[in-house]
Amino acid sequence: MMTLTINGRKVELEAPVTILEAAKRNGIDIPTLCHHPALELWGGCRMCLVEVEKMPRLQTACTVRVADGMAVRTETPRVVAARKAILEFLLINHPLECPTCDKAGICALQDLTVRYGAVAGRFEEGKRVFPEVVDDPVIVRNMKRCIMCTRCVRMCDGVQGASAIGVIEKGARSHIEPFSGGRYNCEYCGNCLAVCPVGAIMSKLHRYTYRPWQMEKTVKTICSFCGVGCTLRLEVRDESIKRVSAEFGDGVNNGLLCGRGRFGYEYVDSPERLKTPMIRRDGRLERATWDEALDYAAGRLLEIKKENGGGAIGGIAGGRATNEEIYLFQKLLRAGFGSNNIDSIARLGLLPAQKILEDIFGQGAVANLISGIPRSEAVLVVASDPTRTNPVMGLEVRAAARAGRKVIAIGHIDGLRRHRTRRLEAKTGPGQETMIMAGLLSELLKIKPLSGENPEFEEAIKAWGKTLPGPDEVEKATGVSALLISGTAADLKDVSTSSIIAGRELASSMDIRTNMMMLAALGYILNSRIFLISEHPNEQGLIEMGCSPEMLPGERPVDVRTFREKCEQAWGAGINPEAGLTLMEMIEQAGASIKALYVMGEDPAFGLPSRGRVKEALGRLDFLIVQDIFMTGTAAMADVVFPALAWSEKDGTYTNLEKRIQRLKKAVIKEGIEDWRILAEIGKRAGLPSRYRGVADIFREIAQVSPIHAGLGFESIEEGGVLWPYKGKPLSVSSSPSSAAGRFPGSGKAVSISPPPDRNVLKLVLDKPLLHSGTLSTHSDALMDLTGGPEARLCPETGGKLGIADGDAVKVSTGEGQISLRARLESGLPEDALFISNDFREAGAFELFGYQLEPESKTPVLTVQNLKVERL
Amino acid sequence: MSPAPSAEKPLAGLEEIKKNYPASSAALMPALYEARRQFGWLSPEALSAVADALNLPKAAVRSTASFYGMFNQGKTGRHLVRICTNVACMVLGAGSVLEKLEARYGLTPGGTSRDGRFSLAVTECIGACDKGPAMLVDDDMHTDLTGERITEVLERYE
Amino acid sequence: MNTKKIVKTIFMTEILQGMALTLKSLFSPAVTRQYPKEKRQPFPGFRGQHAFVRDAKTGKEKCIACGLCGAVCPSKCIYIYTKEDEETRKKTIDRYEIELLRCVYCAFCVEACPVGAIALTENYEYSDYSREALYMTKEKLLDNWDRFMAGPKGDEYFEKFWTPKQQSFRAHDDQAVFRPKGSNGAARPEADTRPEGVK
Repeated sequence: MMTLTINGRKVELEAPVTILEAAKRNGIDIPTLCHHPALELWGGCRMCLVEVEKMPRLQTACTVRVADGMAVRTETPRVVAARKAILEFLLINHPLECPTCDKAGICALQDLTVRYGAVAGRFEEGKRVFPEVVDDPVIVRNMKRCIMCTRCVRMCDGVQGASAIGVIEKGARSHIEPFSGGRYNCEYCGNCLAVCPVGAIMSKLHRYTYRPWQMEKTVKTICSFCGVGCTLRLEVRDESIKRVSAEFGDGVNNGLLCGRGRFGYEYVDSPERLKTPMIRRDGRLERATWDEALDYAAGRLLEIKKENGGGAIGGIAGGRATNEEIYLFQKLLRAGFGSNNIDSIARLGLLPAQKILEDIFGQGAVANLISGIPRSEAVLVVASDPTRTNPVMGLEVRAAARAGRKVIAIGHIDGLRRHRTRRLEAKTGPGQETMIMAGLLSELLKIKPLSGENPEFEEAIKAWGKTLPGPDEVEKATGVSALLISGTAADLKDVSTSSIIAGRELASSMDIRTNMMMLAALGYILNSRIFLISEHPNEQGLIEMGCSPEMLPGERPVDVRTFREKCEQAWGAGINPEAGLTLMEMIEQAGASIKALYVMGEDPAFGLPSRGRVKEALGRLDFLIVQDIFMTGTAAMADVVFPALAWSEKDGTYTNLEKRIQRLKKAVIKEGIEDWRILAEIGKRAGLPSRYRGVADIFREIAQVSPIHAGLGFESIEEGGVLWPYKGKPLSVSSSPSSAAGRFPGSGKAVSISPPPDRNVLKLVLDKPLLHSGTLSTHSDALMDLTGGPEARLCPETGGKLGIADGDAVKVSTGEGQISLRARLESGLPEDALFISNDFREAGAFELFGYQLEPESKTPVLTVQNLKVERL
Repeated sequence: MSPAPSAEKPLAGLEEIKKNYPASSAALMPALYEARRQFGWLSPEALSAVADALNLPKAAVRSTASFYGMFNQGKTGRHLVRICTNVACMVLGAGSVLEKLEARYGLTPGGTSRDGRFSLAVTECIGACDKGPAMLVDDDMHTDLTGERITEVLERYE
Repeated sequence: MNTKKIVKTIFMTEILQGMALTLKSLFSPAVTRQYPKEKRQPFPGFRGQHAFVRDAKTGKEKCIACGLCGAVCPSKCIYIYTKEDEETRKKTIDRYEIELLRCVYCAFCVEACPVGAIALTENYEYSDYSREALYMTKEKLLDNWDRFMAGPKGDEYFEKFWTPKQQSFRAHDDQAVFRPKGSNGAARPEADTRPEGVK
């Protein structure tokens, strides 16, 4: 406990903090320029100088820690004179172009100049001049405005970990530049421009289009790109988003964003957006009125139900729909049409992976806080690159590496290459992670004692673990040194808390059950919080809201009567007790047992493997309804198309990968009907009464039906969201239908791992670009300017072997199909891998991938046959 | 001297340098010296090569290189002449040395002689204030310069 | 009733006073103007309909699209939409609109403008039957300048009425001022670092 006085006011503190912090807590404002709460302390700008009694000189409040009995004064004439002088010095070089500078109005330097009145320039010397650099697609650099606070550099180095910019030259000529001097070629998170206090680094997206005071509203909502669920601020003028920003202290992301979130919002204003409902007449999609389209859709679905039964109707929902929409969607199919054929892209990895882990540890096994990652002693990143798929979560991993935590990367994790990590990476990359993980686990089981917390699970892994391949075996199979593996295990011996981050690669494998069991065992031994990477903002919601053939809302199995009855009561309709078809099964059955498909916010004709066959299957359907914001490939095949509203145009809730329910807020008023209303209207026509006045009413119903959401009110979800276990009851392990043996996959048997792929054969790997997320983001001009288009990434050595140079056009073909795209050679990639993403409409990897269903979880496992790469 | 590292003439010797330092960031200065010695100047390619060899961010390498005057990032003649013009040297007659250079070789600060033999840079103190005017030719220090002596010294460099 | 009042009543002095005024007015010149045949010359500094100053050099508007006029406008009747000029990469106006029906003719916009790009003309004849006619666009505003303010008239207005008289940008007297030899007056920052046209 210490006492000090600030401006004569007595301040009591528990622990020593900086003077700045102490003042802030007591509502005393000390001006700063170089200080930023998210960044390393620097004390370079001298704006925060204060007078401390008995100290002869003025002190920087941002770096000096308080001591007991200290007397601080923050606005004495001496302090004010010093600040004024500093501002005057800054203004020697800072140009007075406020009238045309986009920062004017939210500029720290401008505000301080007004506050201290340092308006007089006493220097006649010319100002330093740097030409404005507009070479970059999204970031404009205007270095004559720079005040050298180095916030951007500290952000890029110390928080983002990209280290793309630095202070170039010295003295009066010093300025900030990326290595190239022009384009940034960085991760494009834009966090540098977010921390710039002046207009030196700014976004090009809204350049010169508005002034801050012309904003009509600022709406706090959730990002629409990945499962992290960052809090965004949308600044809106004339019903169009002008700027996306994030405030430090807000949400999961604490003010940080990635390139997609910050620069990817333009798709909502794309002229290609669907505006009116459409009906296929004489083979062509024609505009129709809402009533026509709704009547037609409901009528046809009822006809098909009458002829073939409810089981002939299927539904696929996308991960960008809100919880309320997903809930209504599955309710419509289950109660309105009597079908359990409901699935989503969560089937591609998250759902089966989570299901197996929850079977082992109980519901909520993966509900962990992202903010805990840098605080755990060790972080294991397995197979997936969080810095690409969930960039803001990736930052926490980098923070852990910076803080000296033991960060272990298993497999090729691009985004951690420059960070202090221990890399268990085979030179030949993909498909080896299972083996490496097994080696590490077998070694850990040998040296690290089990805690005894969960005897049932320990029993299950003891005998099973002995059959895991040891480090030597792993070395033989993968080339990763046995010494490195055992060394890593020894390093992890004393770890008492850790985090494990795993992705779709582990789930999209024939070994999914072994992988998950190993993940669970690793997690158990290392006392880990497990995070499953999630590519869509509401993938978790898809699972929780019952958008799967085997689960009702609240993740309750549909084959248990009590759970079914609860829903039947609330919905006033019977529910089919048998689980329906999964995602790929529905596609396979299209035209046979499945006659009609309702697709909401998803594009199966593009987003599912074996595209040729999927398209063919969709063509066999009698009736296809698509609800989307763009004319996707699937929509072009549909019989009825409903224009949906984009994420910024509606209210609702998203559940992120931590199982945190957050409110999505309507920022822009757009013509059209909210998605939930479309579903409710079709429901009405199918005999489901609907009394919803808004999403809050739907949420109320969810809280009634879903045990995990019980007692939760829509309005009570405040900033920061509601965290698992919300207020409701998770499904306990004991009430799970699976027996103990079934809950622990593979236990009681020897570990089965499919042999790793041949190291000498080129393998196709599904790439996850940092700046794109499905075809949606390709409608954002800025993101397209940054990436250019589809690319096949491979390492220069392999490129040399194949006779491919950087930038060459190549044709890639497999047994499934072929695409043409540009090749990009990148050093550091595994030698036997060809990375192609599935984000660009003109050339997506799913044209090349086939799939095979994992028999139990029905996860489509990507397969490739006859991969050929040719130069064009 | 080739201007930049290439497949034929890559940047060599950094592994040796790295061994002498606990962290690769500590080896940055000697690595930059080495790169400059090998290529004469620090082209973007040379900086990239240093960054890759030390596993440091390229921007950080460029930042460090641009801070120090001796890491010239522009192309120079075969020899780089750096003359101190700080107070002591200036008082002792650096000005007349500069004039002589201009008259004899057509060298002005920042320029290169027509035959591509010398480039001239004006530098801050090089620590030979007692024996000014002083200059560095590449890495050799020459002191007590006069108008006559400087041509004598420079003629030794081809 | 006192004597004074009685005298007034008997001699009808008040009526006579009134009649005297009438008589006087009968011979003085008429005040009524025969508008619209006869037009009134506004007093100097009159604040009539707006105009966009046309730069004599470029032939275009002087506006640098800073939006300060809209920010200062008390009735919020100025709408500015800006963009980046494709060629010059400078900030230019996309649309500039003034809703005259809401304007209170305070001329704050003129005072706020850092480049003297907007003016109030002496034009007061703009009543109309449609609202559209009173919705000013950039073209209409430039046209107004040509019609009413081009030439010395505009200069005079800026000089006399619209340039803020209080110069608060000067150095404080208690501070030493560094000036190159031979210069006098308050120091001014280099002109070349400001956006074109900023005074």
